Amino acid sequence: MSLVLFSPDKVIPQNLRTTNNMLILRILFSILGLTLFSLSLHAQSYRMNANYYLRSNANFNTSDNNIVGVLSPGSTFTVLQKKVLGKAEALQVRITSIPPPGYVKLAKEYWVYKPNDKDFKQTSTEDNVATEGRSTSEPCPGCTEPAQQATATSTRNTGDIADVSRTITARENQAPGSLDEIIKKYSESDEVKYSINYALKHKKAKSQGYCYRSVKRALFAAPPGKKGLIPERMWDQAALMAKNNLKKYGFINLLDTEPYKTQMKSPKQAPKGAVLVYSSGIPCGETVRDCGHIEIKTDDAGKPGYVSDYFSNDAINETPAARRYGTNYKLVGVMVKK
Amino acid sequence: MNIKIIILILISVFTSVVVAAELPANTMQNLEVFSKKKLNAKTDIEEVKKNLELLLILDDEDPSRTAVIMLSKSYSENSVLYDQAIKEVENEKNSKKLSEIRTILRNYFKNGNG
Repeated sequence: MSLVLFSPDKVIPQNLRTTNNMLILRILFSILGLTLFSLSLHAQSYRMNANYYLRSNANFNTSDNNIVGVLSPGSTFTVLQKKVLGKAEALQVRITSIPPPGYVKLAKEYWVYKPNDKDFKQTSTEDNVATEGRSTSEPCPGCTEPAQQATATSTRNTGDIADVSRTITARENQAPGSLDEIIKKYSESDEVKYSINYALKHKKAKSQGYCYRSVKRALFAAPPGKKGLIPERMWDQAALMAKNNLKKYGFINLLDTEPYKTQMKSPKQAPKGAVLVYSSGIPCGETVRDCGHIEIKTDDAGKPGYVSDYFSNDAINETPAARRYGTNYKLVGVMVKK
Repeated sequence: MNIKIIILILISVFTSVVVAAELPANTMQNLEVFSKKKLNAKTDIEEVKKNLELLLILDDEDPSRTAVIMLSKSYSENSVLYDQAIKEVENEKNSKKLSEIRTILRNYFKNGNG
């Protein structure tokens, strides 16, 4: 393609076309064309070492509404555009491969937040694009494929984008109901709204020591003629038990599932309506060594609000008291109903 | 009149901040250690009273009442000692709070939180 465009036959006037001139010009144009052709093959490409969200725009600050997929370790992509966000970067990307459990939904654009170089192994570079990625000659921690082979794979993938996009579309259809979609539906469901409202209506100013009892009542609560989030009353004794027992009613623990397992570091990141289960190390009864704590997130990811038998703007392990005096509470379950 | 009310509110806010700030950073850690300690009815009453007063201070700061819950097992093993200490600490001002705290101390370990 480049060679044809830069052929001297197309651009040199007829009267200047001597044999020697044409020969030299052909060589010069060929070199120029080959260089550009070679550069076009070396778009900046990366291989992922961790899970990262794919978003439909470069807005990484608000809720998760723009998440359209997940890049799993081993995923590769080429960079179409870069935006500098302080020390981090926003990359507009063209995906070349996503191994399971990664997935992608159809979107006009795909954006990835690149906070550092650690999880992004650069497999090829474009000369006119400033890059902060790892050089292909550098050793790649946790990477089993040699750098040269990785470059070859990347180049081959760039050439097969149509095939890859077909594969991605097929995989999207196979994706297990797209978990993000399930979470969104759960958060926006009438059952969750009713449950949160019920808990807020019955809350006390301070805990009475019955966080789990209150949460169970809220999950069971339903408007007349409808069913709540759990179909029957639960009679278990300790909040920590909810981590397993809620699974009987179709709840899943997001902390068992990538990418949430890796990325959900704080209860604040949990979606609205998520039932948050904590271990506490505090015993109850003769047999239960860890009674735990439980609360329902009352607002969207990134926003405050937690209710059990009392309401707090902070999750139990992030209250001012917990920060000041330390805490044994550890988030072990972020339960949403499938 | 209004200025007096504002000054009173400011003083009460300032006082509560000072009280909270005076608690050492290892308060919860100390309570946890105490919760596992085998108590002697004769010698440990003062320490129980001290910790009950600590619970009263923390009650204003931490609506989760984690500190109370932490001592529930200790209460179940030493209820006579705790009840005696509660009686000695109790006054008109803290009576309602102490009553709630005692209910949690009595029920949490016995019934769990469910």
